Amino acid sequence: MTYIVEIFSIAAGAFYIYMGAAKYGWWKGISISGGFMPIVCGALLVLFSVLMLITKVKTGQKAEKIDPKALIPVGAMVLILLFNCLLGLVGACIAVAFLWLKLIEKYSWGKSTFVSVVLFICVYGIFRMWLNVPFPTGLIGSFI
Amino acid sequence: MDNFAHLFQGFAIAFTPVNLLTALVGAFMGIVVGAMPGIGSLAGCSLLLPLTFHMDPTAGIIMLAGVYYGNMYGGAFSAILLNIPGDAPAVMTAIDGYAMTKRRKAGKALFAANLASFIGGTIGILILTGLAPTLAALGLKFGPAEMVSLLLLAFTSIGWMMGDDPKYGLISTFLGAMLALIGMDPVNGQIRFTGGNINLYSGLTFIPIVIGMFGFSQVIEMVTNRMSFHFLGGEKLSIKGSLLNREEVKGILPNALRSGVLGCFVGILPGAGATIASFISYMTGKRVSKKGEQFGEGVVEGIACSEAANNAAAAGAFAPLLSLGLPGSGTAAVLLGGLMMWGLQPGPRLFTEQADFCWSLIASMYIGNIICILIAIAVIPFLTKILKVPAGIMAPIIMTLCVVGSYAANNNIFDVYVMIAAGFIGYFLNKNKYPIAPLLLAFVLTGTLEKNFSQAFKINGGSPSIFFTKPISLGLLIFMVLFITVPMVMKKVKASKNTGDQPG
Repeated sequence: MTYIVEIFSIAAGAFYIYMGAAKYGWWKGISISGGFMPIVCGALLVLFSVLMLITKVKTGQKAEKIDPKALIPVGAMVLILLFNCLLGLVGACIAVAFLWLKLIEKYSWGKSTFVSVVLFICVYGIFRMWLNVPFPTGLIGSFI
Repeated sequence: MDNFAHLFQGFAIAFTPVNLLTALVGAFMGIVVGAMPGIGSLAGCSLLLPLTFHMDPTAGIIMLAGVYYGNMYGGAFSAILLNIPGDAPAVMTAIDGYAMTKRRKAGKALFAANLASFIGGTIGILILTGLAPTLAALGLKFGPAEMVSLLLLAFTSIGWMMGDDPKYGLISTFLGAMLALIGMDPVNGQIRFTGGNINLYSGLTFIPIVIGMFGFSQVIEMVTNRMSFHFLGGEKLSIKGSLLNREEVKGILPNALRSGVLGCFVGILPGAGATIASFISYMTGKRVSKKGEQFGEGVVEGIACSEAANNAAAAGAFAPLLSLGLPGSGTAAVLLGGLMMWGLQPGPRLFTEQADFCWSLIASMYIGNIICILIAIAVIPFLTKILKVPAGIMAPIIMTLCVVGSYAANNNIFDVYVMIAAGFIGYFLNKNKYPIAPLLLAFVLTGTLEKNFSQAFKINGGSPSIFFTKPISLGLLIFMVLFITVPMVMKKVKASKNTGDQPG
């Protein structure tokens, strides 16, 4: 895990150089083509990533461990995206916020409901009613 | 002197009750909209433009201008309190602002942001008053070659100065540039690195990336490192407690003054805008300020640089808009649309043919700036109440704002996916000591850099000599080289001196 960013950067940089040179082209007529920037940026990224890798190996630096709990918010986001089809985006966010408060934070039913309702009023009032953001309404919203 | 005589006439018009009220409403709405994640000044002005359809042109533009610079004030609030920049120019504010919040100094951070915004805005308006047409003409001297050099300077300066080791910042910079290269090539229209995904054809959107990398990664941090977020419960909430002491004001003033001038000038440049202004001013401040080395750890000087610059840039953007009809930013383009909708044709003759309109707008900016700071200071106690909310409740609230804000940027659910991915990547990069700001700056600048590269080569028949024969471009390139080499040489000299001092 310590070298993952550098290894990924070298791979991504090499991919950009390859695509820039092979597919998009470096130069066209009297000016740059679509491959110019990918080649330049890719090459510089590879260069600095290799230098970083060498530094890290030399100094024996270790990366901080990634806590598996980091996946909880990501999981909550996936849940929002799944609920979105049914409840719409705002509804899904509020439902997940409620579940979060109840299941993860262990708040009471009353407090969880109160916070969720206030959050819904604020979000819906400002973004939907005032700023007219057309949120997806989901299956339930389309019936209403 | 003539300008100031016109300005007084402008004040007479701007002080009419209707115009005062529209400035107040515009400023208030701007602050509120600016504080909403995902709704930047561009979206804010676009959304509120229809409100001005039936207004008198002067009142209409006064309201939109109020929204524009109110946005610049508001963007700092969510950046400081929640680490979610309300809009792109507030990204640099989040770095020191949120660090201060973590140290229970949110009130002071907000106060510093407001004071710096006011100073920056005032400098911008003063420069606009005295030199609008002259500066607009100077802005036109910045052709593609000069823009390339300026952008390269911005690229290298931030990449070089952020992070423990310059390599961290530079890798972050090029990762950001590579993300920006996804989508349609702005020069030849080639589709690049999309993997056939139609949502990527127009490229990744900036706002979801910012919200993800700052806001969502913050939620992940809250969950994984819960103990360190107990600070959220204990801030003293009062205007008195938030007041800046003399030492802090002394720290803010020089940084705000310098950033105000720099920001105004960057705001005038076509295609540059408040985001680049705040990035460049922050990096300049980090280099020249007395507390430069502490930038990023939560110092008012850092906030001052970023906030003064973005407010000054907002004022500066009016110079080319009014005197040449050239919008310096996306938001200025919306304002241009508004002007044309009211039947006004911005350009060199606007100041002579519609003098009342121009000068009442500029006068209203002075008034609006004062209104903004009064509103912004008055809401500090209410805003800091957010910090009393326990971290357990904050996490789902921030998550909801992240989803809603990233969706609102383009009304596209794909942006929510981008935000989630950006959040996780941001958290991961942070854990590995990679700074986020260079990535974001590179993301913003790469498209403009590529376009200007192409134009510069085309103008010069494919030869790169244009970058070295134009004086402004050459000067900026020399400055860039000095920027990189001088600290390295100084470091070496210092190291060799220390070695020499040590007893053998």
